[in-house]
Amino acid sequence: MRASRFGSIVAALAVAGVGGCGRTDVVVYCSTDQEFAEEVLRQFEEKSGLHVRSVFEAEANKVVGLTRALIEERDHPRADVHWNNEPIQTVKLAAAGLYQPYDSPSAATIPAKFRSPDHLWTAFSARARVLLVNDDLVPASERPKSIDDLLAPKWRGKVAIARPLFGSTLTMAACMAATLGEDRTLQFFDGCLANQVDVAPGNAHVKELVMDGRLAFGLTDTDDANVAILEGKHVTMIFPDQGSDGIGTVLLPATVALVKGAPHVDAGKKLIDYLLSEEVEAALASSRCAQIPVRDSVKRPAGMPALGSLKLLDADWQKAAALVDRIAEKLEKKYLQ
Amino acid sequence: MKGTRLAFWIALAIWFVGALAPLLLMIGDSFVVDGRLSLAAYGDVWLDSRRWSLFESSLLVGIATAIGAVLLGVPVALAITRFEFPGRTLVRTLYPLPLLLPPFVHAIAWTRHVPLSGPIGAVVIFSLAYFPFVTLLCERAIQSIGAPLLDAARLHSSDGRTIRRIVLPLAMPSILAGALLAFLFAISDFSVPDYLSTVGTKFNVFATEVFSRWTRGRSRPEAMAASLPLVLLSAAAIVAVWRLRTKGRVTTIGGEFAPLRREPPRGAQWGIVVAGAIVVAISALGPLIIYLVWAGGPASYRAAVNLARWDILTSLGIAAAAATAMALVALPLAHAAVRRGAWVSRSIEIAALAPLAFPGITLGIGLVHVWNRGGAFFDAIYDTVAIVVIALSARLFAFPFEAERSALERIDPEMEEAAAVAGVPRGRRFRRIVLSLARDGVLTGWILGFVFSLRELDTLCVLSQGYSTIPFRLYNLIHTGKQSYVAALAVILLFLVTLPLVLRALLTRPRSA
Repeated sequence: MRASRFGSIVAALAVAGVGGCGRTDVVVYCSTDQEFAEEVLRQFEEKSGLHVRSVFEAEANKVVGLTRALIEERDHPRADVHWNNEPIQTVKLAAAGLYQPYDSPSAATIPAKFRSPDHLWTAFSARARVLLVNDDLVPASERPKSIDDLLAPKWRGKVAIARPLFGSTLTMAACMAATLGEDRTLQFFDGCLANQVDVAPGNAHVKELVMDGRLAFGLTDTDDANVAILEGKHVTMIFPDQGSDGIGTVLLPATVALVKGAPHVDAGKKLIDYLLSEEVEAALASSRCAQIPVRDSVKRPAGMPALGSLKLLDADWQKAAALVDRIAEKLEKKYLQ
Repeated sequence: MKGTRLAFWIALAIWFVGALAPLLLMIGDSFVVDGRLSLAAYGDVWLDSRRWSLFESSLLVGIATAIGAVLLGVPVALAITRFEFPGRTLVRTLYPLPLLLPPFVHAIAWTRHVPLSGPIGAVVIFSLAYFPFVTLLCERAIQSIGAPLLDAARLHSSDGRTIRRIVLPLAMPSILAGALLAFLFAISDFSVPDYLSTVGTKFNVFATEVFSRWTRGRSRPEAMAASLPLVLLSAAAIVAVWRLRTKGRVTTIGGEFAPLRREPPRGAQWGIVVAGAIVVAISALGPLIIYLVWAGGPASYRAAVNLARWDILTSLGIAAAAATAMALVALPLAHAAVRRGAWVSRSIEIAALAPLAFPGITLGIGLVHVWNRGGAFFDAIYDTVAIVVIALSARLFAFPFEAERSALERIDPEMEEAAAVAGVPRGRRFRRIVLSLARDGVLTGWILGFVFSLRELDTLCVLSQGYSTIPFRLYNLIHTGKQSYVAALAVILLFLVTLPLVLRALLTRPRSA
């Protein structure tokens, strides 16, 4: 092969890959899983005629990439809309002045507790913390009912959580601290260490360990659990702490916000209106991620509980956002040594 | 200003703006708190015993990886440079393959079938992934030895003794340089230790601490300061690599050079060949076979391509553009590094290696600060894949640079001087002599830049234009997608990174006197 032919191939590759930068009408930074969000955004493009440049989080970075990008770009924002997958970082970014207010008409039917009073963000389509149980290893009569079952001696070394320094496990820790107190929260995580609970890199790995029968059960999110169920594995998803003395499960709604200084404000607002629509909540509910609509009126697939039927940990997200760094620091000393 | 000198200054300016300025900005920023010079961000870097314990873990994993890489890499280098055997071309083509896959992809493949866990598991994975550094540098060093030296030695010694007493000692600086590169990459990776310590022995590394600091919205000075121990250790490794490479320069291409002749192995020499072939088979073909079986039938590949077709195309395009940019910028700088005075040479070489000392995310954030300034000029860079090409070029420049420098230093300067005396213009001397003789090195440099660009993730994670790539898609599919699609995309990635190796095998010509 001659050098000139090689050079032609290189040039063709470079043009094909690099030259595909077309028109952009709105830019969304999206921490919701790419597989689920892409379809929603594609539908928006078809309906609106607007071209969306979607920037997704890499799961490996666990929200660090886009949150950091928003912070670092604050003087010259590139994103119009921030679609986050949990509320605590959203509240922190709002407090840092990275969003601008927008009261979307689509949010009118969303309960007030899921809307920021100053219209800086709106929550929708929620995940929840759940226990994913391997049915081959755990008889129905012994199924866990509470996250405290992770601390039971009979499950020593046979259960897992995701590392509580990032992602939804850290969010859960912050919400627990805001509601139950830091001592109680740290007691739980100390108990996990004492009971040799396996600490996975992320919720997806907890799912794999339980799915593959290497562990009896683990604490993960509804989207991971649903993926395991859809793959036909012998697993059961349990919403923990639903009893009268239970603390309730932690809810992790997605949030959407209009970035301050967004280059395409009007298009951004249209995208937000679409994302907050009942149509999108229904679509996300029936997708593999099985996100629970925050509006009970939205159509859900069979078997998905209404949010109102679940006992939820009544977390103050503002308080949790104020605590999260301190909790992370303390958990880091325990889980990173 | 003469042509090649102008090319040098242009390349230097591009390199400074693209790679060094962002890092200098991040370092300088870490000494400014609330608008004033301060060491406050560095206050707790040295005080926390927990962090030193993590540092020690990283150090041990790095050292063990370096040893593992040498044990695996040297037999492969000896096999492909000294012996002619069936399948030699295939072994030579495939041995770099493990380096081209993200180590996390190795970990997922192997842990499906082998109970690897904890620090030992991490060292095994890293050694399998990074031994090609040792093989690559050792191969080049051995090829530079030249036949007359070994022929003379073999008049008085057995082949085995010649290898032990002459070949390996002469190649030792390059072997150690390769080992240090394996060390450098192992200490900055947290995803593999994290993944392997899920079940069983728990161990954490310092790179996880660094990552954690960036995730919690820490100020830039604090996050940068937290990276400092890792940066200093990486910088020490890089300086050591540089010193060893300087020591390891053996011969030049001149009138007297005769390449080593490869001969069929005899007797115990088959041990080296078999050992090398087994290492390559396990490390290169192992993950491929595992993923092929895991992916199943064509439906998985169709689904993976359907999901990731734009990511694949973008990855190929960006990697090609970055590799070309690196190869072009590296050439005048590498030429200056081998032809200019000691001070200039050292400065260029250290500057080329410097970005490897920093976590990729640090470089990424530095690039945001340099280029995210608004205005048409900066938008034309920051709002397009140009910023991704710059990021990859800055991060991975050392590889094409070293490949080209290594090729250029083997060219006897007397050849250029003779042409100059004969009145050949500088530009034509460069094209007809330098480029012609260094073509293999330039091609190798391009291929290294291309394949490393295909697998890079950390540097791009804060650049919004860098998200439509295969590594991003792969990591996200691992989390949410069907596992068979993950395997299919991994096979596709393996195929894409192998293509340039095949190209290299076709285009590399034997060196002649």
